Amino acid sequence: MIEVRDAFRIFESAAGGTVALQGLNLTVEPGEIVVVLGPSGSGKTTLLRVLSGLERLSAGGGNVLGTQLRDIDDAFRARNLGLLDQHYARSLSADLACRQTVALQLELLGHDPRQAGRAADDLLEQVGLADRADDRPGSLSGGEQQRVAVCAAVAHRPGLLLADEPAGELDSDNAATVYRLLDELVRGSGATALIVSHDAHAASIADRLVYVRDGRVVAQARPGHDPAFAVTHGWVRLPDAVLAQTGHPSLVMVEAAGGRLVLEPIDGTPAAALTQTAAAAPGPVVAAVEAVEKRYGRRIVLDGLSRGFRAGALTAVVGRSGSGKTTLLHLLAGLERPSAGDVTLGGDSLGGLTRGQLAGLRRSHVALVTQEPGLVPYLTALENVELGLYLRGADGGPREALVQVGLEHHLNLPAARLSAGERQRVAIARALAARTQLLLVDEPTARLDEENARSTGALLARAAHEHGAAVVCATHDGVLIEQADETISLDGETVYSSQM
Amino acid sequence: MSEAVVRQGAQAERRSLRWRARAPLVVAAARLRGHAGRAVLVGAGIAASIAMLVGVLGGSVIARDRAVQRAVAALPASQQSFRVDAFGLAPGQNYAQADRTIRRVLSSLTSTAPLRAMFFRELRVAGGLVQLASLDDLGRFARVRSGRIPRICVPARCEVFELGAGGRAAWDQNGIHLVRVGRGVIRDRALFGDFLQPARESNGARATLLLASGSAAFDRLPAFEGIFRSYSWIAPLDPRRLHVWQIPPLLRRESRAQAELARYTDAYELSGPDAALTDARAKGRVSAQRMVLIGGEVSTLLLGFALVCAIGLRRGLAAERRRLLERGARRPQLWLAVGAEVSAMSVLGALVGVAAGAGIVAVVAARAGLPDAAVLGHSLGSPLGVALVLVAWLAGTAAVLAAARARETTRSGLRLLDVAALGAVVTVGVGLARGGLNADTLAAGGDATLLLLLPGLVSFVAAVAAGRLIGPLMRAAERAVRQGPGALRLALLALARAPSRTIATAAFLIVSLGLALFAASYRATLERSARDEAAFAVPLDYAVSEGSQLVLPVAAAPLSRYRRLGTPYPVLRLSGTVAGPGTSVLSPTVLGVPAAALTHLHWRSDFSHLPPAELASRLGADGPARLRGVRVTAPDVSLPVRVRGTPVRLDLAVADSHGRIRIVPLGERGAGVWTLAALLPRGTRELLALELSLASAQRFGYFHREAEVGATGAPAGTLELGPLRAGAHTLTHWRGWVARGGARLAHRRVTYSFTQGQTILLRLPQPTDGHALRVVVSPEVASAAGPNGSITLDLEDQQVPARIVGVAARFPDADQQDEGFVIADESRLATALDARLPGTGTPGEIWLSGPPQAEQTLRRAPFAVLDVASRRAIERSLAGDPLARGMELTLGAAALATLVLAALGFWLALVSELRDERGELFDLEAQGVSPDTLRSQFRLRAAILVAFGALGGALLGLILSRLVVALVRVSAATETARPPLRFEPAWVAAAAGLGALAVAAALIVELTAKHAFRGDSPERATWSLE
Repeated sequence: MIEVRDAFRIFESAAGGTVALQGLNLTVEPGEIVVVLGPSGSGKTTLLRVLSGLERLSAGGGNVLGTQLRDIDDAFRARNLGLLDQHYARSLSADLACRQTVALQLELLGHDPRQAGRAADDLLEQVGLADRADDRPGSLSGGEQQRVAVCAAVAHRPGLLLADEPAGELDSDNAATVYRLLDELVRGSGATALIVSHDAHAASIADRLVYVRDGRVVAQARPGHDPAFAVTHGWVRLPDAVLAQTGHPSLVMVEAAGGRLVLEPIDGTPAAALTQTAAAAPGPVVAAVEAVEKRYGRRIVLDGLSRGFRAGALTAVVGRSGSGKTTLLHLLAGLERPSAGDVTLGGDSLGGLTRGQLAGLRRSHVALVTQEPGLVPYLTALENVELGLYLRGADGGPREALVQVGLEHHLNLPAARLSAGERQRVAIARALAARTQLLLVDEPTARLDEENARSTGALLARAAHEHGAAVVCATHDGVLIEQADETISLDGETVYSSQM
Repeated sequence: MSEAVVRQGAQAERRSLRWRARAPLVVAAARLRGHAGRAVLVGAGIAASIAMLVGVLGGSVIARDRAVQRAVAALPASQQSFRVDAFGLAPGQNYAQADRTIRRVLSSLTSTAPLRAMFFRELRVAGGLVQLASLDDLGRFARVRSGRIPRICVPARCEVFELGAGGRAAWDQNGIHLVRVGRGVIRDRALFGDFLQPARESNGARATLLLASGSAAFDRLPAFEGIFRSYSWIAPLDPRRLHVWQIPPLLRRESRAQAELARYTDAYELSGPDAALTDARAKGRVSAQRMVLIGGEVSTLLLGFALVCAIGLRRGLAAERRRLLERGARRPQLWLAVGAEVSAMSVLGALVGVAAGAGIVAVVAARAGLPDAAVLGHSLGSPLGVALVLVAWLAGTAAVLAAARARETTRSGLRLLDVAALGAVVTVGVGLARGGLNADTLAAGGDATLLLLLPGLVSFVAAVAAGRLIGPLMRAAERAVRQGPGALRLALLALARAPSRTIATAAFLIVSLGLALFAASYRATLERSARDEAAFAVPLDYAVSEGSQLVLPVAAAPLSRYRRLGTPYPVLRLSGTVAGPGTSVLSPTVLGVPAAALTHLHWRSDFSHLPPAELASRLGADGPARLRGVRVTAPDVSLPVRVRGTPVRLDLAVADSHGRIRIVPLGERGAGVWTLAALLPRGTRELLALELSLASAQRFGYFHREAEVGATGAPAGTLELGPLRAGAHTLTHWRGWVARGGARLAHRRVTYSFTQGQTILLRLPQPTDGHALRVVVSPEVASAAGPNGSITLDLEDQQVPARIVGVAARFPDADQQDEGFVIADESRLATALDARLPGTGTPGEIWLSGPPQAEQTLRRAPFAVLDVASRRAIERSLAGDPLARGMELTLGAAALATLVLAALGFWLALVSELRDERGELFDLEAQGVSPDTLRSQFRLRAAILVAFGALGGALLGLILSRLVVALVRVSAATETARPPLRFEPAWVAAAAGLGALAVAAALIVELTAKHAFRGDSPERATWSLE
């Protein structure tokens, strides 16, 4: 059904190429449901876009349903593929009714509109939305919208369904519903599915789990079983936990003994000697949420969360997509107001402050690194950090901050010529330079490779331990999580690749 | 069976194809419903532009139509008709037959039944001179003062109506029995031309005009058989029912009618207002060509607005396109979805625009008294109108589609635009190098393509230039204010970080404000041109000159009478020649104008680099001159003379207290001693000169010999002069007198020789003797001058030496194309001329500076015999010209509409910017920038864009206006402009427009900012969805 051989996909940028896929190999059998796991930036979405023909490989090859990847065109995609995006707001047109959305692909293929409408109605009934067929997505909940998106993706009975975090923005119940529907619809039509997800519910419907890291498949597993590590042309990626236990060696001896492969580290720092910044004793609570509830329409993202964030501690906030990680950061920054409960900063409630006062508070006390840093493209890395300090009215060390994030050779490069990961590091430097008491970071390693992710994690830990900031980091990345002093799970069901 | 299967398969395939096409259309329809507000905005902009285009088309037809009607209405009544004048009937035709033929021919030209008339030359009946005529429907034309309208005309009694008074009650002679039954006047007398002008006898007595009822009245009288008569069939034209689109077929029918009449006889003459119609049509074509300019401006604006819309639509369309792609839409389906959405907005906008424009045109046409349906049919409904609207709609739609699908500007893309802009500059340059377009070239078809493209090309160059400048300028400005206020820095950052959006908005503002300024300035230029044209024709307020009765202004009334009306300046206008380049000769206009008058003339600085005060000073540096003479003490003069040689004629040149010169003959004498005497005219004050010329017989013989056998010996002789006496008083003993023109005076003896048959003059030395006349000349004359600027004016056989003291490119009322002009001080020129030949320096014109009320007085006696031109009247006429008014209205409307579109486009751009910048704004607020600062930066950013737009727009408007003024050398009334158009920037209108736009922009910014930054938390950026 799907075969990918030595797939490379390089995205060119002014700073040079960014490698999204680095020799990825994958085979999916007909009728199989495969769930792909991996941290942000590991190449999962790029894999799906390549398989759907929306991207072309830079090197390597493969085929989908017997058609070479390079030959996948609009017609093939229309007839054989179903695409499901995590952002249902992006994949559903706000202007089409649910029936129209579900029937659209059939109509684009030239089917009778009446027949397409009837097929759409059947599907909507199957997912419990028969009475919403004439409504527009805006009037539906997130879960309902994603159900509509699922129907739209399978209405034309594709041979292959490609889903990218299909329950990413849903709560647990809705996520379970969506995955159940996917299971029913895909197996019911005998289709094959490749699902990218962090969600435990996805693992529950999978025939196989595939782990992707740095653009390669590093391991595979059957649900409920330990993963087996992929050996590709002799390359194996050893899991972080194992490496950590053996002192992160850079050289190992290998021997085959009794049908087993034995690896013996030659160098490596004993675990005890590992120079991780020692966590200082946690300081006072800098920011806290008390019985906080956050609702978007009918959708409840945070439900009665109470938690304090202390100075000198790195806290990782984990949860699947849509669990409320970013919402929590925004609440702590005063960028959103809770539907119920209270948020405090430095012991003072944010509830009574005006929007302008909250901005003033952030200027002095809070630094937020968002997923899309708003750098000014034509300003250099140094100028962007200086701008951040100018806006805060702060004196800082912009140059030092950039050196800290490993961009000492990129100080005078315009931001437009930096890679996505480098831009992310500039944003982190901008936040570090401000030396605020509360540092909020949203998916800081999303576009970083493992090495940079590790160093970023160390940097954030240092900011907490050495500078006494309360660092709160929303992340999926196990590399970051393992460096955190504390971890908060917002859904309790996240499957994240901390083992990898 | 297989055939049925195949057929079914084909049908299924066709159905499937229809459904595949339907799906993207459903998406497009849904998007339109979902974003109705934006669709309405886009449609409104397109509608406004199309409405303007339709308005321009319709307005052009209305203006041209009114111009035609005005031109025909301005004709004398006798020419406002199609008429056949028959000087006798065709062989073999009687009157009834001729009547039928001619009526049939005239019916093809006008639906009005022709008025028939018969005219006789003056006849002597019963000892009295009468002029007879008979008219149909006499009762309609005659205004009875006494008696009644004639009823019958039979041999025994032919009732007639007398025009005027003083005739007899009856005329009886040899079978002619005319009985006057009424008296009065005839209405619309001018309709009959000269036919009803009474002839005069040699003793001055006038013939009595008698009219009978019915055109064939006199045909019933045998007594008139054989008497020559002429016939007229007059079909008056109602100018209000004549339309510009009827002219070509009308002229063609007239040609056919003329040919048909010629088949019968040459004596049937068909005439009509051809010249006026052709001229009006040509003028209308000029106006239409110029309207093309406005059409080009509108199209440019439409494209600019479309591009701004496209920027706003781009993101939404891109997202929809991505969704459809993921759903498996094929490329044609993607194009269909996007194209349908854009086309629907533009089609609806175009339809609304056409309807609105048609409505406006219909209202304007109805108010102008024109048939609205016909006006629309010949404007919007014409092939050109349909094509223009279609092309405008297509161009706008294509521009929106292209811009909506374009990626962000890359460096290589800008280079392509640079090349295109350079091409545009070259195109405009080549077009300009081909020379300006005057009334003749425009009437012949002109260069419509260049006119249509000119605003677009220049605007395109301006937009590309702005695009090149804006990015670096904003970045440099941001660097300059890094230590300055935060809001300002953020504003400049926002402008610099998204150059394509900033460029698009700024370029649109530059183009729309530039076009608005162009429309306003060109309008002001045309208005100024009308004033300049009137002032060029009448340099002060009034110009009084000789009328048809050949009475000079100074003869009709003394200058003191003119002084009661204002400040009069006598002016001499002469024909003369000067040497031209090489051996050629120029025939400049020679004007003698009082030097002091120059400072009061309506002057333009481009007439000369010297100001009028300086020219006046140089011209009058020698001071005024006056002819010296001898005071006369009594009217009876005597002069003893002795003549030896050729007989001579002697005259005295005398002047009265008003300076009027008369020649008083003393007589012709041959050899011998004589005492000549004469009675001087009443009021004579001075003796100016004694003129000596050949006696009549000798003059005739001399010139006859000259012509027959060529030069012969010149008649010569001597004349001894005794003292000239007036009464008992001796006026002069001739001491100190000089002789001019081929004679020598010494000791009272004149030795003469008539080498050219000339007039010899004896006079006192005059102030102009030996002094070259100071003159201001045109460049053509100056370029052929001798050393020290010396020229010789050859004025009707008088040679006047002159010296150039100044050069002017133009002089009011002295426009002699390519021949130039020569201006001198009137008193010195007049004195110089009178000193050579008394009476030749009499001013023929008076330029009067006076109030409006003086116009009425100048229409009455004693000025009624003169020709009076009023600058104000000319201004009024030019301002009231329908073509001028149409052009000015259109330009005014274009300027206003352009400003409205500028505001609309600005609003659209702001809304799009805020939507596109949600992420950046969120990030800024996350870093601690307060909402107040964000609002301030938004206001500052908008202000910077408007300021940039205003500055760039001012520059663009100035450049475009100057280019158009240089290229289209035609006045508002579509004549070749004299003096040439001079660019008049409409600063006041521009300031007012900019002020209004600034207020609108401020309102828009405030409303938009209030909406964007409302709420107690910032809006999440689209990427922040967790």
